[in-house]
Amino acid sequence: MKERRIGYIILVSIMIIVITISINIVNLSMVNVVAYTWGSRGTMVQQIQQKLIEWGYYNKEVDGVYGYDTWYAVKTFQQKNNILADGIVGNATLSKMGIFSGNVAYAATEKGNLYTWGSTGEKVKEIQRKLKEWDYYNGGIDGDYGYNTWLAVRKFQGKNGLKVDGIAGGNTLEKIGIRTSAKTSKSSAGNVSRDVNILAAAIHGEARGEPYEGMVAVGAVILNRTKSGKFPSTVAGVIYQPGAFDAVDDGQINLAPGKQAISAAKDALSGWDPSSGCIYYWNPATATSKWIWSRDIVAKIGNHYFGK
Amino acid sequence: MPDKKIEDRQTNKDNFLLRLKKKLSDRHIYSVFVVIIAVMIGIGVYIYKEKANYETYLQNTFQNSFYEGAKYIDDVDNLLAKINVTNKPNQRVKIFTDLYREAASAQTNMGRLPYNQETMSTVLKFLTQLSDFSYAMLIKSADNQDLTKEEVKQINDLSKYATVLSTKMAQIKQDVSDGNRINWGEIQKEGEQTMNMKGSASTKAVAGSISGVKKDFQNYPTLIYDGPFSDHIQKMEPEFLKDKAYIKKDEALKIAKDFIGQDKISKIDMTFVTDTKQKYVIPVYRFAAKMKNDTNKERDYSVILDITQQGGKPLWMLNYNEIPQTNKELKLEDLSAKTKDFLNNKGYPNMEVNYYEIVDGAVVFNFAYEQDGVTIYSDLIKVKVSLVDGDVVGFESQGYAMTHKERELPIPKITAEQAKKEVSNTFKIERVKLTLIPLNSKREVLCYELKGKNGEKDFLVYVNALTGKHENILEVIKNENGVFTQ
Repeated sequence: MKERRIGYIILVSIMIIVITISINIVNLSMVNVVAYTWGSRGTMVQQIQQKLIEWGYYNKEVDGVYGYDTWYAVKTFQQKNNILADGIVGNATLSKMGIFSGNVAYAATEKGNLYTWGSTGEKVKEIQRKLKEWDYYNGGIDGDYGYNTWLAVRKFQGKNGLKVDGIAGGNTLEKIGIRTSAKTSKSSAGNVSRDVNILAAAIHGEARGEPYEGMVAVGAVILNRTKSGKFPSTVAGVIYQPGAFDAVDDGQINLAPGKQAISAAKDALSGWDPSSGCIYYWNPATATSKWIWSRDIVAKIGNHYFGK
Repeated sequence: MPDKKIEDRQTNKDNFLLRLKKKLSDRHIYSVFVVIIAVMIGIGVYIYKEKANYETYLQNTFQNSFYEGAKYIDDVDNLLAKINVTNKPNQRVKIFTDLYREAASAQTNMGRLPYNQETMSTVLKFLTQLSDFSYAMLIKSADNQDLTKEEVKQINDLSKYATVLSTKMAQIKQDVSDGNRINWGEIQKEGEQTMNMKGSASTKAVAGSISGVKKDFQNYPTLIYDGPFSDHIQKMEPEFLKDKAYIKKDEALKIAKDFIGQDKISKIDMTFVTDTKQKYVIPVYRFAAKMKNDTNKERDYSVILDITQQGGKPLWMLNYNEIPQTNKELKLEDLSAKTKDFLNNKGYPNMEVNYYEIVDGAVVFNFAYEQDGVTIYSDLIKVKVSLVDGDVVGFESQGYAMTHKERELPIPKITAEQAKKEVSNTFKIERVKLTLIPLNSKREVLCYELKGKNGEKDFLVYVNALTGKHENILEVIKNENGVFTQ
């Protein structure tokens, strides 16, 4: 009898494990916009880690990767603040962390007026009014950015070909017809910042650990390609050309770029070119293509050879 | 008594194994394993299906690009053949417009295919040049100019190669409709190695026919015309340096030390020397220096500087020490005046600031050469200056090195007053200035620069001082990060 009971216990526990694993697989394959948990990456996670450090819950590196340490810190934070301690950063946790309060920028990369969950005030009322006029929104005009407003903004964004994120920022506000304070639409979009994020991500994926001028050189190669005619003519086109960059093929480009990579991208966009106009580079230790060796070596920086 | 303990543990372990064996012989336990295996298979099937879905999706995306690319290449081929039938510029405008657009679309689609880079670069370069060339011809035709003999020959050449390419694409399509399926995943994997194909026969056929293009394009002529992708751009000589003498390493070292500031360096080494056999590269001596005031003491170097072998001029410099955040920032006017003096001292006189942009605690000034009151925009030097202490932390003079010389400026054929009439009434002109601007093809034209406002936005309009034609319109962006154009 006793053994039988043990058998059942094992059975049930194994079933539970299996079910959780499969649910996790399903969950991971869906991109969840509002919640951050194990495996989440990006500037938002960096912001969460920053906040946790400020309050002494977290003492590891701000790397933008939601791993065990971040999870543990979030759990402690939730326990202390009487939120369900599930280690998942959802809206409740975010607003307790103060990331969504008022006009505080949503992500570190964006500045200006952004409205989303938890925002309140006159501007939110104005958004609701406008959305109601066009039948996107059917709730009350209470100046409280809640679920219904969020849904309406998403609907509006979808219909108008905007990025569907439920955040009423520069472009969305412009489309809705709300004037933000004079400069916001272009204040962060200078000459340099136009392609900076994607270029920085490519540099980070391809050349982190290289000397700084090697990182600038990799950025310069990408920019030189757009001007050479032998490659796609936009920065994104060059970076995502199939088989062109290892970091794109293996997904490392999705890592949050470090400070150095961002400065390197800015320098490359400002016109610095340590590669002397090259359009290829390769690592002599790992290059698999024989053909690449037929290129003349124009420059050597760190672990990379650069060629035309 | 450690031995005894080990023995105990051993017996415990034996007992455990025995019990486990006993348990396993129980039917219920077996059924547990059956369930586990069933669930595992379930998950496996699920993941496999997911993977198959993604693969199909990817395959379809490539397939889409391939067929669209093939269609546009076909169109381009037909359009090129039509040009010879026309005899007036205005009849050609439409054809060149279509060519310009369709060739660019073909380029975009072909660029998305996972062929190996070597082959693809030939195809992409051809399509880029075709689109760019068509644009140049479009502008000419719209200006009611006829084609020259040379241009007719160029069109015939391009037409020949377009036919080669469209035939290849048709052949691949035929192969595919004969039942061969293109496996783009396989092509991508094979693309990495150079054609030592291990893939299936159909993959071989497809990749093989495309790589054949390279052979067909072996005699592809040098195409020179008035556009940014013309072959002359890659083959430009550095005007500023080309007649100067080559210098030795020690001289270069002295120049490098002088440029960075002898007293600030704690260590300097030469890290690279360009092989002078290289064509179309400015050969340099590269120096790396460790500074006395480095923020990160562990880093080997914090300043990199290239000195040209010919003429011994600093080509570019970067100091990658992080600039500390402070509220005590220097005034931009003072900084630009100081930087102008710096350039003057280093042998770059008559440089004037045009634009600036603030990037991470530093400001990047764009200086352009001024000759007889005319701004020469090609002769560009960028200087990055720390906002905290005014130190030069970056220098970039590739533009200046490529184009700078004392020019014989043409005499304007129209007056400033006439130029002002060439813009819209709503454009409120604030200032007119003579400038020499580089077009995309690097050809320089003398223009009146009309600075003014249209509504709330600032613009620069460039009116050709010889022909009265609009050469360019730039929007001026002014904000807390700087003043620049787009």
